[in-house]
Amino acid sequence: MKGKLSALCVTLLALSLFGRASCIAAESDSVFDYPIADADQHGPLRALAHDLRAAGTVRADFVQTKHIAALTRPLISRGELLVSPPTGVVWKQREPFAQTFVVTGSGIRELREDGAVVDALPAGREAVEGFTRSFLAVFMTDLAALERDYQVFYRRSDEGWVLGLQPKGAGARRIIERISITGRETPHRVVIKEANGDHSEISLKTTATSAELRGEERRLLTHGSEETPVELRD
Amino acid sequence: MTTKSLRIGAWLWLTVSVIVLAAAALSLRDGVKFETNVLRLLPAAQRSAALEQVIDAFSDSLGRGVIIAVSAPTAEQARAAGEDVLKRLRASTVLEVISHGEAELESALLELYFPYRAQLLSTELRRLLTTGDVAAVTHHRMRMLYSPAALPWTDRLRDDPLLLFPSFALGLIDAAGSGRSEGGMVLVSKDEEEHALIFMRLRGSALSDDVQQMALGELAALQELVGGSARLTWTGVLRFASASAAAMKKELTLIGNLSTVALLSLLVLAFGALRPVLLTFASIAFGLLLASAASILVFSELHIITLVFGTTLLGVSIDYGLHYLAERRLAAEQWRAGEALRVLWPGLLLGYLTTLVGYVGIGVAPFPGLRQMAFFSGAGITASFLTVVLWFPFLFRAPISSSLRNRKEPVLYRLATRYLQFVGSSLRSGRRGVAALLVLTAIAAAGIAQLRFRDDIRLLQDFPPTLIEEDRRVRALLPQSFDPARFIVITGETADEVLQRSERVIAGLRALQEDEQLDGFQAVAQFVPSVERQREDAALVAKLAQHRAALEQYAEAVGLPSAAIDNFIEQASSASVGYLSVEDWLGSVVSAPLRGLWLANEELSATFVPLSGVRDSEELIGLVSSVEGAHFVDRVREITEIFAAYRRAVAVFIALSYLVVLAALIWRYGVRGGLWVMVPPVVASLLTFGLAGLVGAAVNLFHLVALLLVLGMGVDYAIFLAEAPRQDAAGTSDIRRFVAMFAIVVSCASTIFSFGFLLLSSLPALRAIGLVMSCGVLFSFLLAPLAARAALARPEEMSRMQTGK
Repeated sequence: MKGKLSALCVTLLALSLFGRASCIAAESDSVFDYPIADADQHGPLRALAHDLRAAGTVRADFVQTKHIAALTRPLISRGELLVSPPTGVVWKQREPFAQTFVVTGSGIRELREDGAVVDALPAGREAVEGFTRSFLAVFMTDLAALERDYQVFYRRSDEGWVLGLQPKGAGARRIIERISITGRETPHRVVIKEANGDHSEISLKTTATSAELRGEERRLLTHGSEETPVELRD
Repeated sequence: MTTKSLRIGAWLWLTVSVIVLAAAALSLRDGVKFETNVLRLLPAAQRSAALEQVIDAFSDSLGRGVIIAVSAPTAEQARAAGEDVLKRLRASTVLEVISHGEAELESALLELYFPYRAQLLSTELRRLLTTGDVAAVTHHRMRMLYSPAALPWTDRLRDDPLLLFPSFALGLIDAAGSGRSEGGMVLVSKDEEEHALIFMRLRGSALSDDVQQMALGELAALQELVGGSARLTWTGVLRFASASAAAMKKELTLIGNLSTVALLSLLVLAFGALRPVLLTFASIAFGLLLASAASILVFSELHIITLVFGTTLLGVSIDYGLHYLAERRLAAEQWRAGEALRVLWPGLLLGYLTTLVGYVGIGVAPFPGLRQMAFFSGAGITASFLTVVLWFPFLFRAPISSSLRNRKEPVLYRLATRYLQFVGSSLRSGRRGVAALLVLTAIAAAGIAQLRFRDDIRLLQDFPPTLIEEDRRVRALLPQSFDPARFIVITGETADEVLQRSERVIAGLRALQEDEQLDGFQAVAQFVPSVERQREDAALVAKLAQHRAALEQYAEAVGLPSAAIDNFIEQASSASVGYLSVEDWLGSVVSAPLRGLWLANEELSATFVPLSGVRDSEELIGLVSSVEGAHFVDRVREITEIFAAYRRAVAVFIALSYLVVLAALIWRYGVRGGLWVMVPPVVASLLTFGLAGLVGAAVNLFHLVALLLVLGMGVDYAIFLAEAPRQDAAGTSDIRRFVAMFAIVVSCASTIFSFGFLLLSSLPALRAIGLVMSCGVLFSFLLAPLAARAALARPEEMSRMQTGK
């Protein structure tokens, strides 16, 4: 049952890793033929992680399409994504209604309509900490941390690159089948396939790199973690 | 004492001994069992016996938990090694794995709770439904559906369109506080390592010797099984209980053997002949044997610490035989066994009684551990005393052989003589002695002014740092680590009453959590709401079902078929499906890791609420006081209070004991003499504590307890020295004093080493007794000649005494 938590984390992880957009499409499925266990994949992936990190704080518009088998039509939402390494990620949905999630080292929080920030999943639980640790590890180009929880696949072509993630743990695999992220300089599409047949597609369009944080975003990202900013290890 | 009455006494004593030994042997038919739980030494807290039983039952049940951490550099290695361990554990007869695979757990979760989804609300949903704002409820559900998170159990959406079950179930996961679980293990990343945690339960008490042996054997085998880059660490009450049991057994053997060897060497040095050595030793050993037998009859189970403390009997009960045999040596050809006893009797009796007063003083307090030690020791010296007094006249009928008598004086005799002569010559006038005492007392007073006190549980439990460190490291991997000493217990007549009371306690605990007065807690009522709560929730859901239009609007917005809403309304408004009960929960694998939190018998039900990160006990005391049947237990505080209360009580008792002993001495030696004979133990005690204060040591209950013994034994030396000149009017008093001094040197040496060996104990309580006793007895001994001299300083008193009243 803890798999459910992991699933939430996995999804957010996928978003936070590659929440930057470009507009080149690529075939994502075949990436799973290219595990980075092959030594020759390591270098390019490291370079990619480096490039992504160099982009600094990134803003992107997103469109999420959630396909849930029990529903007669997909759930479509739109909004803005802010990825601010090393602090965290803000998922700001505008349509069909406003809601905001914040992911930082101190957990996952939700901005209520009344302006209150509440802990949706505070840190201190292994699933949440594991997630925040691994997403931050990526920003530090720490492939080893990523490979701890996922089997990582990577393929580069003329049109761009595709990164595939397959959860290693049996618990997580019961929820998430696989995740693929497609991009060129920055990612533009994230597809999450759940084990029960549901799947989500998130399209991203980068609007700014090396962006400045707005006042409210700074509050969201630092709220409750003033005294304990996430320390990153080299 | 006539020979005839002696004979009767000897036979009587033999009969009593045989009866006691036989009765004890009979009660030990099933083998000897020793209590090794140090907490059993403590008095019970101020609680009803029924509640104490419930707490004991929980302690036993929860104390059975064992946690293994298999750590490795990578998750794969940790997982693989963990799987090997799990495989081996599944075949274990003593360890039961309590974690289950997720697939099993997830279907069990659905099976247990899903049928009751319309009456089980998450805290947040209950809050929303209570406001009656239907739009707020449906909007909240839409937020969940549209969130970027992968939603669990979406395949059930048509049976549960408002996601009641997922909300409730996620709350349970929160309450269970578990980490990433996989195939019966919980995987944790920490300190750049990967750890697979395995949770187990012993199939017997962690305090049981057999269980300990079996479990330790299996865990050692597992440690060998895990090889390569992985390593296995583990913790649990088992670990601490077995470590302290093993340490105490080892100590008992070590201290017992050392004391025996030291005692035999001392006797050889003292007598230089086989027969007195062996017979004296036999009288002491017989005393120990009878003490064990009598204690077994009285207490049914002996604490191993009583036995460790009991080794000091070797040094204490040597006195009587020693004085008797010293007298024999002195008397030479004039030795008449019965006659000698008449001369020695007052000194022996007074020495015995003052020591006994010390032990009785220890045993008066209703402190089970001290009582057992006091009884054991009191019985031991009584047996040795009676053996010497009643049997030695028959065992040593003949005078000492001339060849032995003409042999060179034993080393100890020469040392004793020299010290006595030194005291005699350097303190010729009483003034010097008084001056010396005043200086010593001033030093003592300066130290005592700086004394600190310490009253905590570590006096009884002082575990090796490596053990504490490994425990800390394993616990640091847990999502939640509960306080082993502070918890809440809730009792009631029925399971539902306990659940209702728990819900009120939980509400208070949540408030404390919000005030950051508490990190976390776990309660069965989080997993099984009371019937009342289920009824209320069902009513809230039924009320929601009346808003068909709003619900259909929601269904339309998220793309649910309208049939789903019809289903929901039908389910919410139809008759109840019954209520989820604790029995249902206990019967499901969902409860496996938490079953120890619930207890039920015919008379009552009870639940245990573990707490983590308690800041202030007062807050919790206030909280439980408003809920009937709820009790907050703070073991550390209780024990500290117990130690402090007994420390104060013992201090008062020490004063009383000194007065009793003083009265006895005044009866024998007059006011001046009695006061002087009291000087050695009093000044020795003050000096011991003064030195403790000067070196900055903290004083505890056990230091004070030892003072009672310093009194009991320290006074003996002056008594024996003061008695010496009274026993003989023929001007041989110097020789008598030398002989008495010799006996005292041996007696004091034996006491010092037997208590000194207690310093080897791992138990601070025993070390405290050992330290105070060895210092106190040494000082008493050094001061004894001075006191005895001063007590008899006045010639008219001397002569009055020498003529025997």
